[in-house]
Amino acid sequence: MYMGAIDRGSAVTVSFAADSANEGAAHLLVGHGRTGGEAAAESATVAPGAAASVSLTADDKGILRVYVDVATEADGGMLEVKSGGGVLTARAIEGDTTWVYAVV
Amino acid sequence: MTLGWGSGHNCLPLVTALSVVPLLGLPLSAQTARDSACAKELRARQPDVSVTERGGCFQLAVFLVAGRTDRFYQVKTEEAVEAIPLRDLQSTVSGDAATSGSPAQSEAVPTVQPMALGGGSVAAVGSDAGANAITALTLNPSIFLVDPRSREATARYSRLTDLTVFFPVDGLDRDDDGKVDYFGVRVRVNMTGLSQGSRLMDEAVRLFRGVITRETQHAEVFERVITAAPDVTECTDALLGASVEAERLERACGSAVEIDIREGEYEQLREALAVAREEADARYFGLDLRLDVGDPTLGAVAGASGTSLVGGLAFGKRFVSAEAVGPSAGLRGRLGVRYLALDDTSVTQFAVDGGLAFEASRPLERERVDLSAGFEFRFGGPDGLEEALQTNFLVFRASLSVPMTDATSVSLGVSAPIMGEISPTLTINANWGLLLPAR
Repeated sequence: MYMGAIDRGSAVTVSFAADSANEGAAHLLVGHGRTGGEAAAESATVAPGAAASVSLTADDKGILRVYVDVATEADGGMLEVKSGGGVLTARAIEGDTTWVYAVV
Repeated sequence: MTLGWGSGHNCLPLVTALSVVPLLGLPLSAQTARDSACAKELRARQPDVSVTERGGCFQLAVFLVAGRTDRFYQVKTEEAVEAIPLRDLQSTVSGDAATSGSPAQSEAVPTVQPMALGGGSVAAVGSDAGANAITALTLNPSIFLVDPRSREATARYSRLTDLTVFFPVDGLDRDDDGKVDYFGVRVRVNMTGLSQGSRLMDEAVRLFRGVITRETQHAEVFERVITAAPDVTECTDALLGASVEAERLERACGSAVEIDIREGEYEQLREALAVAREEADARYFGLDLRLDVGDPTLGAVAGASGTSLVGGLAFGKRFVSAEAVGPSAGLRGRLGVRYLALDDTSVTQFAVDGGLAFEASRPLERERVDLSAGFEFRFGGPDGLEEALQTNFLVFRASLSVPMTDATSVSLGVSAPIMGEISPTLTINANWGLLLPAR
């Protein structure tokens, strides 16, 4: 799901707090694709009831994709994207979820 | 020529503009005007997200990439989940009926991963007490609390806890005192294991980077196409369309576009994540609670009758292979405290009780061949009463479990004391487990 624009050079932190009732571990992946260059990506594995954060710098024009891969459609949690100290997006999610930002 | 944009098969949508549309020799003012038009178009389609004037066409291009590719990240649709047979939601790593700590124990160090619905075992036991038969029945309380038609709840709660009762069937009351000579109750509670990075996750991240790199290339191409398009709205509609004709696309966007579909890359990513999750879930951590009433030596040691309660923590870790049905190896351990009150004396005692074992497993469809070997110990209590208290020992245990059908297996277990006054045992267990409905 397209979620908006992020300023180039911003430090981005993505946090996921998994529901304690989740059936299995969730993967949090954050990737930054740069125009004319290689992508960077970071990840964390989040056990049910646990939380994790992933940070990277959106240092070039391109795409920033956040992907939460959960064990079952009923698994979920709270996903939050911060950029430059402010909250860009924060929502409760259920099932596999992907958010996409344009880095401009 | 009709181009398939996304019918959901193996080689599908991503879009690459063939003709590298000259991006163009547009004057700055024209470029700015086009970015503004793109930003306006994006705001109309996504009123709730932030859109900046700067880079408006690139933002619209990223929006198009998301529209074309998001679904490849989200394949566990409700329909797909509904299509999964209930039986496939059943955990494949649960143990057998819990006879841990009794003469009927077959596993070197028992797991605390519960049975999905329930099951049982009948064990033929050879020990210093002679030959005995012990039967165990296990029930998962989730079968009373969860509607089996609720697939997610079934998958979740069937992995939480179970309760086992066992007793000898070849002589419940040998001393004719009107009481059962020996029985035990076991409760296993599976709590969530810790998760952390792994080699398998590194591979998934590498694939993710490749996917993102390609998506960014597509966004660049989309930006060029939109920037040069005669009409932003028409071109955006055409690029978002589920199925388009190349001619129409060229007419709407002013440039030839060819579809270059790599859904396989997304499939690879999802498979890598699934394997990495299996590795994360191959760990368990839980409670191992045991109550024994009566004589656990089955009459071999005078004065050993009593009531004991063991509370402990158990953990396990399997090292899974990159193949979904590949062999795996792992470690199991447990550590707890036993409290014992003997019946014939006023002796009470606390002891440390634990074990550590290596396990190897080979999946066969839903069944597995399991081999394990390790050590169990118990230390604590006064000297001179070791036999009656069944303490101060170190014992080697090994077991082999071979599946017979989806729901039945035969286990062979041996134990040999390395130190201490405890009987060696040989057990042969016939195990069965209840299966969730196939449909």
